[in-house]
Amino acid sequence: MSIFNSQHKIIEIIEHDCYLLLVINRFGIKLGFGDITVAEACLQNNIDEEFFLAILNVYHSENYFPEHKFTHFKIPDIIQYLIETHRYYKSYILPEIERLFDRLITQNSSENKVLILLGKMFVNFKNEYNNHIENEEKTIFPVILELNTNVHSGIPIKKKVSEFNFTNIHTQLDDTIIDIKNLLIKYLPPLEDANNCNAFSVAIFRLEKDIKDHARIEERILYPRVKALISNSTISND
Amino acid sequence: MTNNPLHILLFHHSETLLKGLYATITEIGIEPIIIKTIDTFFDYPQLSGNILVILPEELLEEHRTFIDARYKSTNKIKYLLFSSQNKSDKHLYINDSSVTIQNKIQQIVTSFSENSFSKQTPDLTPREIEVLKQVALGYTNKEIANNLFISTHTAISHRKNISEKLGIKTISGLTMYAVIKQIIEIKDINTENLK
Repeated sequence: MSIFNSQHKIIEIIEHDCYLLLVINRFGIKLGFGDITVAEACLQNNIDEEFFLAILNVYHSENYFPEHKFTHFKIPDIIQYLIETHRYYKSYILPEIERLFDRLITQNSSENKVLILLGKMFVNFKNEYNNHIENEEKTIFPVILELNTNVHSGIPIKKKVSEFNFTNIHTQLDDTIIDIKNLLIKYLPPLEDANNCNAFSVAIFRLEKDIKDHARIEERILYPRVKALISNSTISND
Repeated sequence: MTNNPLHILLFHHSETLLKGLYATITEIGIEPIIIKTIDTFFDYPQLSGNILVILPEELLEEHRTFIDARYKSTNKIKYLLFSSQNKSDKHLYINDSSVTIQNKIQQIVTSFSENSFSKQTPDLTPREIEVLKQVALGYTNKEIANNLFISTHTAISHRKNISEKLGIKTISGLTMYAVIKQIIEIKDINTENLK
């Protein structure tokens, strides 16, 4: 299991695991990076190198999760990264899976009711996930950012904010996508076009991995940081 | 395999040795996690499934309590010791050939799955199919218990087993499975609730 460091070239990392392109894009590093190393890329793009490496390595190795190294990352950096991953879900992978689903359904038009229902299950999942994203971006993240600024300027935080409930609805959503994947791969009677089915399955695998990673960053990096902030600050009574 | 993954943790202070063992183990299809210092264990806080820790004999006594405590929630931990003298078949020895090392590790890998319940996915029992049907029809655990004359506890335990066997957890997922396997008909389910 390779753990990347600041002396690795970006190209070496991508050759090792091409899905990490997603992660480096989220930090604003685009293709055409030549032979630059991680250290150079971070300097050029004004990125916190340690944060970048942690996110990259955690995404690459499912079991690697050095929590003790995450305690000093800046909350706005973490939120910025989470918003970038949202953008990928909203504007690319979720619509893409829906398109692949539609194509499967049209190609198997011989009244494949099960496939149509599975498509419906996915659309419901997509809508719920989009609601979840919107709730985080419009409600939860702004509260956290304000809290962060206030605590650093010594302003007492409101009681209401200190009792804010960062509930976790990820598990249910993660389960749904895993179920759709298993139903399609393991249990659905074989469909005609293997290429389309594979394209669809690969896209679902990508999404599953990505939202797992996303949930882990939120639940085990961001929220513990927020709780620590709250417990270290003065709370006003209004 | 997904139910009970196996992780091999390779703990040694010598980088050269780690590299050699890493390559040897990777050849049997398992990519080990490399642990150079005891602190590296903190980088892998949650490993689910079974764990095989390979480490030098002299480090076992010092670190065993720590390692056991870190992974106490995993299924099973086994240790394979690396010794400087050829003591027994149960140890890895520095002059062992790659094949010998691979065989010794393979033996332990197999021994993990021998006692494991989830080695193969058995079919659902007739009772589980009954419970699945009820779930798909939208009944709660309590209603299922009443309808089938079993305790709520038993109903929950059936549901847990069904999910484990099928790899499907949500009610919508279970409903879709029941439809695919023709345990129920589409007309009997509320398709608006699928999510």
